[in-house]
Amino acid sequence: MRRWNLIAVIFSFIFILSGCAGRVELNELLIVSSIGVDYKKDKTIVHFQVVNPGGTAGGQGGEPSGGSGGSVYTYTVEGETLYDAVEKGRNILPRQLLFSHITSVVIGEKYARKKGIAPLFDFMERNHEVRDNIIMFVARNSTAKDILSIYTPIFKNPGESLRNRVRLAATSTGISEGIKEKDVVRWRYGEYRDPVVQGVEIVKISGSQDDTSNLENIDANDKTYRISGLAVFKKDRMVGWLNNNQTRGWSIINQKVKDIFILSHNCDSQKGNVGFMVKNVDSKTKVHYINGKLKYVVSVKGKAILQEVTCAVDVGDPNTLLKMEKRVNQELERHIKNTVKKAQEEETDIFGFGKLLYNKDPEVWKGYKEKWNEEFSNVELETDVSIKLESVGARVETIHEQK
Amino acid sequence: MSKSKSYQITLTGFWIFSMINVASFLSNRKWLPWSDWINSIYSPLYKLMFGG
Amino acid sequence: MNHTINRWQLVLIVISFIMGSSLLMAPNLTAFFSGQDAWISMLFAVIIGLVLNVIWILLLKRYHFRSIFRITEVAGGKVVGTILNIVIIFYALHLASYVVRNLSNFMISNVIPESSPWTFQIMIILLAVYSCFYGLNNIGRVNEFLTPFMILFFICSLALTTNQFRFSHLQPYFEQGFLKISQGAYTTTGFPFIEIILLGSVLTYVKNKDKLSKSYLAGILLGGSALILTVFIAVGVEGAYMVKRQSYPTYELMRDISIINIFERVEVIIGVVWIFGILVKIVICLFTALKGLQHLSKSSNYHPFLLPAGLLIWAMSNHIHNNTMEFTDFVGRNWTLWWFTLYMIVLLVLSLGILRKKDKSIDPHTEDTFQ
Repeated sequence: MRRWNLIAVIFSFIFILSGCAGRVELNELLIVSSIGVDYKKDKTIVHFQVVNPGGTAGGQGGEPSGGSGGSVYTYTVEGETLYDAVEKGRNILPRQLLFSHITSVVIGEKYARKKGIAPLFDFMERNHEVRDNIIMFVARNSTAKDILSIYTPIFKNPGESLRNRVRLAATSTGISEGIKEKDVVRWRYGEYRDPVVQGVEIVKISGSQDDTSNLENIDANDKTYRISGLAVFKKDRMVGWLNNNQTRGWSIINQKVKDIFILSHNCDSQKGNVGFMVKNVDSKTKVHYINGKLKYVVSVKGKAILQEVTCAVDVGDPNTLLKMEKRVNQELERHIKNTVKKAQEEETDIFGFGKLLYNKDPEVWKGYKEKWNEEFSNVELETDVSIKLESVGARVETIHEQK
Repeated sequence: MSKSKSYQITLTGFWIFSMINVASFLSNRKWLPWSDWINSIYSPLYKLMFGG
Repeated sequence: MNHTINRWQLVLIVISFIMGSSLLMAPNLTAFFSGQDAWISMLFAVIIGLVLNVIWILLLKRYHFRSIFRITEVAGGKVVGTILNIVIIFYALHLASYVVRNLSNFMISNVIPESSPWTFQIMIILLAVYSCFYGLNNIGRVNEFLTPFMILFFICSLALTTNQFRFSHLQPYFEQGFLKISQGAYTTTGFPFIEIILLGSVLTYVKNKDKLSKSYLAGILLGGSALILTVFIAVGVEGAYMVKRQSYPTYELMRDISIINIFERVEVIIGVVWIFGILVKIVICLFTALKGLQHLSKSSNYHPFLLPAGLLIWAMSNHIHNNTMEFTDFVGRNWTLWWFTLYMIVLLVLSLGILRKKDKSIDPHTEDTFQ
């Protein structure tokens, strides 16, 4: 019996201790919250924004409390490739990097234009720690370094703040979830289509953004980003930007929209505006192949809720409402058409029109596949927007009717 | 309990077989490359079925 | 050693056997050939697997579900039977070593690359040997307790990914052509639907054999449907191009679970489900091999064979292949034919036995206490 007890003890040690194989303690890890990539003389500059565990506990903003230093730090390493930089980074980093909690990747505009995004993906996909739903950004008119060296108030972790910003900006950009790394890979390599990536820029540049003392200052505009526009890629190289209205057109066609804000400018030839929130936007794109010509029909459905009126219109009158509805529809149609026109000028199929054709008729697609980029710029577009005005909000008559 | 002849043969044979495998694995020599043998039989068949 | 199990336990063992190890591999193995039509491939594989198993179970029924090792001896005679039994034992051990290798491959490529594969191999083999030491009833009951939870985890995990499901990823249907679709179906027919014939050694221990065939086939159907669902959702969420390139697509799929930014990073749950399925599969393989050895040696128990069998599985799992890609390529190419050969040989011997009216010589009423 005694012998069996001993064996049981030894076996339980084997089972328990084998859990320690390959272990790394928490205080040996450096949690990376964002990665930035910049281009400099044919080299890849990689920035790791890492979380300072002492700095993030308690207190407001990046303000240190109890711990020491700021909430995050950004290390910059130069290398031939992304992984080369990660390995070279081991020379200057105090702990082992942990990639599991990356929230975003910021690419400098120069890098996106000169080198393209293709060199980044293989490491990110192959590494078992990096998730493929990290959000991608292109630093508009600036470098990734600029974006990653700001201390943000309220959110101690700028990377997290950036991700949150995407969700908050959804009503103006239309993109409710951010463009993820796996989306870009799938579009570019799996669906015959050109990718887009959201842009991010600093709202107001000031000298001391990379200093925690900047957080003491009440002016918050110099410590925040703006999510703006979409970087358009041709194959994997960036070729241009979509402006905000075109971004909304893109997101409507691609069914990325949940709610979107529309400001209509003409108000019965009077001065003033009408603002709507369009909810439950549902869009469908269909392709028709008639007599050797391609026609795409984008149909959009949704419900609008009146948010603001700054001119004298009779909101109580059903006929006025119908007119308003028409305005909203026209506005959305304009966004969609502008976007497609812009994409056709660039010869980049950022909507997946090619994939739609392939889904519908693989045989016809075969004929177009080889020179789709040129063919794409010739396709016809038709829009069919029917947004229904559902509610006018808590008041009926507007004060502007009172002359 | 009678340790019959078939019992002796099976047990010894099985021990020898598994020890050959263990030795070939630990010494990093391919004495019993099962997968190569299986591959050499079925690869031509597979090529015939799906063309490579 | 108590070997009796009831029919419900058998159904659960069949489900675990089918889902274990195929759960993570099936989407890649099918989508690699048939792209967005992978789920059609999987559907074909399940249908073919069911047909093969219906024939198999009907034959076994003629022999009153006696242990497969006994049947081959009765049907083929002493010499043929013994040779065939040795072959079946080898197949079982070989399969066990592949499943062990599959587990360690997964752990070191996707979960803990810092660790040594030996850790996982030795642990799972120790567990399997320990399970077999206490007999079939033991694993039957463990499986009965855990499988419902595992299925619950599995269904929940799949359900949580459906918010990203797009039918456009599955279109155009049937575009890949029949050859590609059948190539995708080919790889998943052998693995796991022919492998399951090893359960021929287990069926004899089921109490009350009246509706045994129905339970067995129901288990295969349920496990198969779970696999079809997995492939369908994996391709619908990720797109064929992504699934094709991932080594363990189901695991990657679960990494994408993201509900309001709080419920995230739960993919290890599917890893646990998978590892449990793998444990059941290894235990069944080991049990079959041990039973065969016991039959050959005409011994009253199989305990003396536990240690060498464990060592053999460990050694074989390491020296069969050099790296993970060679492993996957080999399984994709040869596995179905390799198992189909065994299936055909056993089928041939058994049907010849029926033609020679050997099945009448098995007494249906005596229990296989020592076999």
